[in-house]
Amino acid sequence: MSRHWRNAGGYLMFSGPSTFAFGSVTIVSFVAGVVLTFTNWDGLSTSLSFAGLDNYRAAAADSAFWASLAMTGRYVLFVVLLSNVLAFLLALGLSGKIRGKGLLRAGYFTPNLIGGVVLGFIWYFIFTQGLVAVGEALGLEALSSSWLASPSQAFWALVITSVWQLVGFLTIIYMAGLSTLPRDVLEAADIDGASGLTKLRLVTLPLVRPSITICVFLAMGRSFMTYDVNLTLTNGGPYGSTEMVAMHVYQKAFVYQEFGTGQAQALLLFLIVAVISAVQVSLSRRGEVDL
Amino acid sequence: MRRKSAALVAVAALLVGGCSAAGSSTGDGANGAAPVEFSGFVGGPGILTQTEDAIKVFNTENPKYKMTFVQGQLNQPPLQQLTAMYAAGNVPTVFVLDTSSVHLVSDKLLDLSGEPWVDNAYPWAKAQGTIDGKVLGVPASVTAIGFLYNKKLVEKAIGGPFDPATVRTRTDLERLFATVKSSGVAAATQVSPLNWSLGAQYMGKLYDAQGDDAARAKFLADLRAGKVDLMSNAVFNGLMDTLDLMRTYNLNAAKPLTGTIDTDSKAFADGKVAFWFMGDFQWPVLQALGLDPASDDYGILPVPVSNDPTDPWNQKLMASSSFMLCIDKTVSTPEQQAAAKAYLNWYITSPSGQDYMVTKAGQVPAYSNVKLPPSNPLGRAVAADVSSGGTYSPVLDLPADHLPVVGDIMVKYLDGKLDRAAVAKAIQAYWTSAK
Repeated sequence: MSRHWRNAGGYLMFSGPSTFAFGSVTIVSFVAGVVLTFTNWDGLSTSLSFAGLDNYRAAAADSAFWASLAMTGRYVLFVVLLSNVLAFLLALGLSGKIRGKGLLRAGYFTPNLIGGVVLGFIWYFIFTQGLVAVGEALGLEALSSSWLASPSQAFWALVITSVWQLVGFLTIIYMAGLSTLPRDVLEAADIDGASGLTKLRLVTLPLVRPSITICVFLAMGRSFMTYDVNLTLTNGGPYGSTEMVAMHVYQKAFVYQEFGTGQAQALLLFLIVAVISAVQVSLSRRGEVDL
Repeated sequence: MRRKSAALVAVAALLVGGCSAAGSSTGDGANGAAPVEFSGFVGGPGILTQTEDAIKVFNTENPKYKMTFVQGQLNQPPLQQLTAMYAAGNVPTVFVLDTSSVHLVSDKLLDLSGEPWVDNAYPWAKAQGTIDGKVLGVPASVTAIGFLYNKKLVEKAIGGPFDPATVRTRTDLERLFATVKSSGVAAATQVSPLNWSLGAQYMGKLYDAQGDDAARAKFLADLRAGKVDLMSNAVFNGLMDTLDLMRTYNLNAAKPLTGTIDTDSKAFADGKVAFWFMGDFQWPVLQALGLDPASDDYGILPVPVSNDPTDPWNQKLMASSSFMLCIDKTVSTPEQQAAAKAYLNWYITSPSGQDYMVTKAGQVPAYSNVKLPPSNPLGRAVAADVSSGGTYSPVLDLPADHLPVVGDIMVKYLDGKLDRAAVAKAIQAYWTSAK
């Protein structure tokens, strides 16, 4: 029995603080959130009553929610694809023998250290003033007016900003993956006369699959939940065309004061992202190579 | 096994304890010498340091109380921030709210009806904070919406002194726009593609100009019931005609969505446009861009909605209380509520409170007892209209999603993606499904 006590004491000492933090910040709010979806709470009133599945019906019937989800899907696709390809290429470049490697690595990583809100403001000024000034000075039609003023260009502005933020972070993970590649396998490929591209395709890529799995997972999770950059860069505009799903959920709950509906949509979003991530991880895992 | 569950209970207790600790925030101000501690979420963007300084002055002049300043987030409406504060159980005793939000939280606000200092507010401003006969908020200041104009540019264009009272119809405004344009001194106007400006402030007049309170209420009820055909409504067409006029003479007519609040403020401050549909609340930004607060070179004009020179809606400025100051009665102790009342009394009646309200924060007073002149030309123009009765009070209890929905419709119209009939249809559709 006393051994059990010691175990419990040890558990509390080492995992207690993080269990407490995880429990109070994640579990309690998650459960409270699920409970709220069955009520008609408006976010402020002191009384609430049971509303059954009304919120889920309202959430599913909200066409703007599905439109923003589709738009977010497109955004996630491009962000995940572009950020991973760019990060992999940068990591490949940086793992060669080049001068100033440390400086470049730090430089690429810096955008990731800037908070999304600040980053959004920085790019807001770049798109509305910086690039416009360049476009006017050089007579470039594509840059002569703010990208944020057109629904299609504002979407790409969001993608560019998010990719810029994410690439440095993913590069570090890819670099770590590349640094653990077994030298002997690469040398064997050299001896067999494999060209650079063949070596990359048939040796390097299969061997860094675990890094790809984790990077795609991280990029996907982050971009599905994008809110801060969305808020400060486009604020959903012009006329709601770049309102991503996280922002839509926030608007629903806090601006339109339909807390239950917003919360139900948040739960739907959680389920969708969880399923997609699980499928992605299990599919990518299948192709990983064990040495 | 029992021990294991005891450990689990300990973790659970830790969790519950941690969560409930966030709820209690009141100080023990009741015992004799210790001052009553309370917090204030007051002062909007642009006047944060002024507000912090003012609270220091209040605390020095009122040693019985100790007020702490709660700084909000700049780009989020107070109601959204308060929602989070209420959810966390950490509510400031006195806070600002958009005038249009007061009715949404009326069950949490202290009734200030019996307080003598409340009656210093102009009757219309007091009415804006009154719900079901109870005064639930007192105005922080007055703000007015209309065409800001650059007097020097206009006078240069027309070649003589400019009297704003001569603009009584849309045709008068059109003539002025045309003169400015042909003179080449500047562009006549700019239309900012901002949903709050076009949706809430410009299209708000659609409801306001229907008439008195009864006429407005009937119009809104008819809109909800789907009984209104906006295309045959005189105010709607009048507003759209004026908007079309603004679009024609827009500095950014070729690319109507390029302007931002920053670029448009700069264009106005740099004298690139003579007129700008905005509000006097934009003054602090314009002053930071170099406009002189002592000059009287800037003023504000009402938005004409018809060609009838006797139409009062063409001559009165839309004025409302920028923010309402309210006191929480659900979480705050009676001592804290009394302290918060003392703060509001100080703000409205004491020389140092008024100095902060008008001189330091650059606001237009909503109180007839405050005699200090506003510190900038737009404020002085608005104060003159307020004291001479040249303003009207807008409809304030629009649904929370009116601004984003109608705002986006109007920005789409500005971008040429919708025509007038489509705007009418979209606004009608919004109202029939509005909560």
